[in-house]
Amino acid sequence: MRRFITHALIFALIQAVILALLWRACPDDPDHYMAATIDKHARLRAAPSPRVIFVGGSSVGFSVDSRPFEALGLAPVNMGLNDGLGLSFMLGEVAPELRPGDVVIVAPETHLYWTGSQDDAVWAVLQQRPASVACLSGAGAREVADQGLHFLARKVRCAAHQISTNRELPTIYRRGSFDAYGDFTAHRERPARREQPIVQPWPAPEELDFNRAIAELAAFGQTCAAAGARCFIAWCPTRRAQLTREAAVFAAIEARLRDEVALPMLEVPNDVGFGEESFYDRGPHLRGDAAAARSTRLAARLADALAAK
Amino acid sequence: MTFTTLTFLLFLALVFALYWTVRGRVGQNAVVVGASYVFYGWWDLRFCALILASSLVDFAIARALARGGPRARRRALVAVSCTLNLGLLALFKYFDFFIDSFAVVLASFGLSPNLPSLHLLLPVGISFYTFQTLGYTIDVYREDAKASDSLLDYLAYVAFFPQLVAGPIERARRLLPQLQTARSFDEAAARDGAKLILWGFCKKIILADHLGEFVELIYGAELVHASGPVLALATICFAFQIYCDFSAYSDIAIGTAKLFGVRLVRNFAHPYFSQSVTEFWRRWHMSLSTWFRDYVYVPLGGSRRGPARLWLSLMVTFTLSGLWHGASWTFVIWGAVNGLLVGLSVAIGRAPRRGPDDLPASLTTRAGLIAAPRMLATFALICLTWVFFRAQDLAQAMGILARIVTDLPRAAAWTELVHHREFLLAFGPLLLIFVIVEWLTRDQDHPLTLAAWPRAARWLLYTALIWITIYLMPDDPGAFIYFQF
Repeated sequence: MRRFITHALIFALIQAVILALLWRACPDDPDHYMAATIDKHARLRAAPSPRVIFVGGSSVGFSVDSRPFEALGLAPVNMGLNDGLGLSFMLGEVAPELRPGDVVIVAPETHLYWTGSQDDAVWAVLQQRPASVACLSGAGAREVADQGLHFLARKVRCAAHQISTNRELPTIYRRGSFDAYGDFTAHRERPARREQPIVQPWPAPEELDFNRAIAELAAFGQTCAAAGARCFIAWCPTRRAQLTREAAVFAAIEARLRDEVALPMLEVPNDVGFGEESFYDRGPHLRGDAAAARSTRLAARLADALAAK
Repeated sequence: MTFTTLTFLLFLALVFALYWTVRGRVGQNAVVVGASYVFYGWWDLRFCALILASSLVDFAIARALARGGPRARRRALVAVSCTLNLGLLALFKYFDFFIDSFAVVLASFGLSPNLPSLHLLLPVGISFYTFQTLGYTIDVYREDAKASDSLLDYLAYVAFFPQLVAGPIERARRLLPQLQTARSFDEAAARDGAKLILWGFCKKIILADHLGEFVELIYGAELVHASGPVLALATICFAFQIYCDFSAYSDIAIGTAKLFGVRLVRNFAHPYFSQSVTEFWRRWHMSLSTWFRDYVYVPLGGSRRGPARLWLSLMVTFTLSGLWHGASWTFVIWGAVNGLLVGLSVAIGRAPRRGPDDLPASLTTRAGLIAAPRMLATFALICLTWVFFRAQDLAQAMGILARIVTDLPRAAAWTELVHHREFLLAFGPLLLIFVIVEWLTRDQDHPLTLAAWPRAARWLLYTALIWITIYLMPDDPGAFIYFQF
């Protein structure tokens, strides 16, 4: 036994040394897309009350233009970063920071109603901002632990790229592309990227488990109420063809939200159907003009909802 | 908890330390049971209640059987066990399938009744542990195994985490006695176990997951859009995907068990080097094949009661085996086609009877040269059956088979392969290397044994494999295919 353990430890030590070397070859990039989480959290803390806080993944970052909301006398904070973080983590980022008078608009990517965190997004955020570990729920922590090897894999691939080329990949998907509100702005004036949209049909609604997301949203609604904040639901921009194809899934989620979450909706699914020309890339990322038009409409509805209080 | 995660590796290290720190059978089995329920509950805590209930029922029935009594009472007890276990399986796995199929039949008569569907969450591994507990009760009834006196030992036998969710399906007479005595650390077995785990990781991540992406690209579309050669290539890739995926799971399971001083049954013996479909089924998923052989095929009469009974036994066994894999007509047809091929293989009877321990001859010998075309023909036949296994429905399966047959002679159809050149260039050589390695090490349990290599060379290879595996880990790794069964 002792010999086995000794050999295993020596072998593990060799791997640890290799890992350290690879880590050095791929140091933390201060302008990494996920490093924007630092600015978003700083904004969340520093923005004066009352605030309008947008919660969601990259679709919120790209497809919300905060300016029309500022006209409502609310300080915008766009927390939208990456859908791989999962709804639980996104809500966990905002919940402890709520103040009386705040308005929260939750617009998760639709698949987040039945999926948790994905890839290594949470790991990438934790690398940039370790304090975000407090945003993990029990189930979220379990998922993140499962994704550790994928984070390691990405680090190894990054190191291999650095070692072989030592060149940065040209991309606008960087921390510096977000503005002071947390909106992603670098794509607004650019022509659309000609990419094939991801066409991956969703399972039938009865095969999807919305329970966790619905429960988390209901609990978040209560947290908002307790903090004196108001919470609204919005939807993720969707290609019209997908909206038609997946109408049953949207209807099922909408019904569950109305029955069990009781948070007012600023949009219904039909409002977020956009033509292919409105999207910047293959993700649910609206181009600048489409994002502005959608945000103006959303702000008007928010104004009505707040006035009706 | 999935094997190919950081969580599992940390969990394994912790359980290993705890297991060898405690002394004696009771302590070790308590660690196994606790760890196994954590492992299983990682998916969904409710699953633990199900496996505990299933275990308690069969433990009690086996104890009652062991007390003896009239034959009728004993038969009734086994019937209760079968009803409960198969009922559990039917409820969670097959209820909606049978309801939907019944609705289709009624619809063909112009009826459209509003039949209930349950849409229950399928507990991971239910098909595996249900068969394991059912086999235990039947073995106790047949007096092939002794009923366990200890509930702790029995819970450890049913829930032993390395093989809980995707096998190998263990028999009580083999695994239970190992858990009924204190295990001592076997350094050679532990080393071999660690190598098997590494080999399993390599197969799953380097090959199965990447082949799976290509297969999904071709098979994932509802309509058959690819040309025959591309469909044939995707089918061959699926053949290796499912082999690498499932055998990887078995390797990791067997390797993990070795770390705990437990020997699990071998599950794969180079199945694609088989020279007949019959031989393939002696080498593929051996723990399930032998389960069906002992509890279905032989009781039905097997080969002892003439050709008609043989055909009946074969077709029933293979069709049930297909249904075991999934609640879909594609699996039923897949099982039936395999039954038909095995029946034909037995009827023709020209291939030599070979088992999992018979090594394929070297290709430089006359026997090897005779064997090579047989192996290729068997592989081609098996690939055709995989079409049913992988297709989304029967219409797609038939469409794919028709397209393969009609397109293969058309030169123009082959040009579509060019669209997949990146995949072919990246993974074609890897697949070839894998087949060569499997062939060259067919006399060993796994290719990483390397007993003759100096330690430095072995460690260099292991280190390279670890980092290549991590490097090639896909962003969206596929779950083990057999989890869904």
